[in-house]
Amino acid sequence: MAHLALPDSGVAAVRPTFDQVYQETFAFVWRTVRRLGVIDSAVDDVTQEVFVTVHRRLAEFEGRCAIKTWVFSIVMRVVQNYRRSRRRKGAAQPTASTVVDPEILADSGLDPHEQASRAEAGRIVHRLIAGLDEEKASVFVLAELEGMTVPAIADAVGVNVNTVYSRLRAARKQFEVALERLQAEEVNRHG
Amino acid sequence: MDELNSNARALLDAANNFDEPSERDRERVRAAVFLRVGSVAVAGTATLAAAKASSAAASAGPLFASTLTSATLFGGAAVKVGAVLVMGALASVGAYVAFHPQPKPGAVVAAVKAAPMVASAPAVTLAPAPPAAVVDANDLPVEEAKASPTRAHARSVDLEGEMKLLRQADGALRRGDAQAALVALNKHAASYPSGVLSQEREGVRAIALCSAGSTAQGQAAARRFLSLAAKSPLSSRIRSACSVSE
Repeated sequence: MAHLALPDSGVAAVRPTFDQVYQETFAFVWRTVRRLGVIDSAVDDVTQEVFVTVHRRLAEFEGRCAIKTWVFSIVMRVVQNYRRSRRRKGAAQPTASTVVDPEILADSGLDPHEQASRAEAGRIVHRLIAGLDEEKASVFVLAELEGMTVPAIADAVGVNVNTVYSRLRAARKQFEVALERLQAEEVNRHG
Repeated sequence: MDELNSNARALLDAANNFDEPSERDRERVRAAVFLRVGSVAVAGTATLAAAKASSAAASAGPLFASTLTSATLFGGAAVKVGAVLVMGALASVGAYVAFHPQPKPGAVVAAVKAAPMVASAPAVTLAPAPPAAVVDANDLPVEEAKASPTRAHARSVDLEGEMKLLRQADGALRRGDAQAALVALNKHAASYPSGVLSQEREGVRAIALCSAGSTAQGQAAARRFLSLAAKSPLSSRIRSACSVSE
């Protein structure tokens, strides 16, 4: 990965190979696609389409931002296409992923209770993110789950830094309120 | 700016790793991309200068070229099948996803045990089907992962070899030589019983069997394929070749 720009460094000395980009960003793309509400059965297709696009457009990558940032801009467009396609087909709004890969669980070293707790937490996070609009969801995922800086997020989503701050503030608030509401419902349900 | 409150942060921390892909995910998607864009760049052995990539795709022949130009996403029929029978099917990961359902391992294992992928009645003269051609529980991803975490990775290392045999089968089918197609498919099954393209192989096998006049075998294979991968780009071709409706 020596040729890749370090995250957020802004410069790539040499254009990375596709294989380098794939190795570097596959997990990020996969996670982000799931977190942005792509249903489980479509995660493979959407991720595949992202990397086919990366392959096609890699020659255009000029190293002005981190490769992860550039790839995210592709992720966002592909996910938007996916959503439009689902809307055209009259499908229900994307639901949060609910499936835990058994391989992950098997390798996690966690006890079953902890595994179940983690899966449940993951499903709740997906559900709450699904309650955000697309713009807020993208910013929230990149900031809170991927740890990207605000300037990098601004590059990735193509808006200025102030807009990112604004969306992130609103997304955090909405997420917190939705979580509290969910917890209150749980308390009421269990008496 | 206000940070996320501790309650929400705790939830995010608790969900840590929930969305992480497995090594199998990484290899499966890589294989699908590999098949859609051609072999050179994604194999990781060459740099990806755009011109080189284009040239690699073009030189890969009409199958790759057609795949590149016709592949679209989310349409169900991701690729115009027809002249790109095998590669068109391979270009979509739909079949693979359908054949590798996440969870429900017990159900999948039971289904496959109950319905081996190679029919036994020799209604047509075939090259002997090697035992490995029968998909058993050990070939399934979940079982495989349990048995040996490294097998899923290892099985993706010879995609070129797998593709070569499936291209042979495709070429034979387009020449009307179903017997030769079945020979190529059996070679694939013998060499790559758990190959990345093993499911696609069984779809093409259904077509070959029906085309060879082994209708009962072919229809049984077709139904098994369709029950698991109804949305595969191969499906319409299989339905047509085998006259099955589901």
